[in-house]
Amino acid sequence: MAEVTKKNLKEILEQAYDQFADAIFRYCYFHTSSREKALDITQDTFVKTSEYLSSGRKIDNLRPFLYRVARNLVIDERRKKKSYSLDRMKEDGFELWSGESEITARENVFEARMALETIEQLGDKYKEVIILRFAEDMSVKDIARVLGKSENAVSVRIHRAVEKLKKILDQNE
Amino acid sequence: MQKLIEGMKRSKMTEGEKARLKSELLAFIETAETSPIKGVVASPYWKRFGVPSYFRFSFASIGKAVAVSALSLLLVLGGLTYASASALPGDWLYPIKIHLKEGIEDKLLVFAFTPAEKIALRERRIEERFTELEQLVKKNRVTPENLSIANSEIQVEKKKIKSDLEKINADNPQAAEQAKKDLNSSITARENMIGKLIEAKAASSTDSGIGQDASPTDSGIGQPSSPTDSGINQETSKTVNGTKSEKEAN
Repeated sequence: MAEVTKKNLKEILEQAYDQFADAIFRYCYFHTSSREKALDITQDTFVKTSEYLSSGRKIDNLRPFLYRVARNLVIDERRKKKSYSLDRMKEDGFELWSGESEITARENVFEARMALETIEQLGDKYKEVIILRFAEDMSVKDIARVLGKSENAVSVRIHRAVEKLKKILDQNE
Repeated sequence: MQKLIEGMKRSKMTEGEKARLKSELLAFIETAETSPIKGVVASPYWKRFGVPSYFRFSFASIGKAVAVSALSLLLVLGGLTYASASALPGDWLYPIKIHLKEGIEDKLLVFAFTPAEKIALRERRIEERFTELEQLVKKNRVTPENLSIANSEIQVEKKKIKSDLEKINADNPQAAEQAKKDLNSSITARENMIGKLIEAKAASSTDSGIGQDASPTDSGIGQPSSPTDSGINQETSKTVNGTKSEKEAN
């Protein structure tokens, strides 16, 4: 990454935002189960990245860096309050509106809700790797960077998470 | 499982949400202060005082260097002061003991001690000087140079005692008189003892050099109550008597 000046900081952040904002939001959403919190954390992620770059420090690989920042913010959020329960979410009637047609939107809502309910049963450790590996299509190497673990440990965790997820899905059918 | 993953991938921000967050992010970058110096994050505290950015870096690094240096100096001085407690005349740490350790204590005397307490401290000091001299003799480390150092320090303490007695005398002549008597007797006793110790050492050793080099007359200490070297006995009593006479005259 070239040396950051105020001018190109804006360009770098804008490009990063366009490329990764949805993915970061998705990651935050599945960890917080709250749209509002996911939006806040997504914004904070890019703000903190901007502050990091403006202090003169370099980022070799932006994508895992953004996920690492988002992950830390999610952990902070969890420590502050209890997680937004699924039941509460259902009561509040969470919505997932992607700008598509109403029918498609409802399907999306249903599918997202099902996905959230299912992966919630995995537990935080396995949920995380499932989201990063399958929802975000992240490589094992990048996941290792985000989590601060070895690639071997990440591979083992993914394998175990998939096994557990399959059992859950079989039970739900 | 495929359906689950597709469901997960579908969740994203609306166009409106995405645009709003982006405009807020870009506005933040525009208004946020950035440090021109690489590796330095602008401190909110410097903002308050309006310190130019190029000074922030300098103050931070100079301040740190000064703090570390000051701390190191304090530690070294503290260590030396501690080590100097057992130093004897002629040791390289002896000046530190006299000028640093005891010098600081003397400065603090102004704030902490009454005149009577100061006299008591001076008495302890002069006792310490005699003890050092005694140690020199016992350890066969008496040389003309060491004796000269020891003697001069004893004379310094005597002068300080005299000065403090004059101050007490101004307020309370009776107390000053009593203090003078007490001090004279203890100093005289110590001087006698040291003198005898030196003589005994000289007698027991044929080539120690103590008897030849460090004669009592040279040291000015061995002769008990000698008018020329006791200092306090003669000069102090003159001052006390003189003061009394002046008062009587007035």
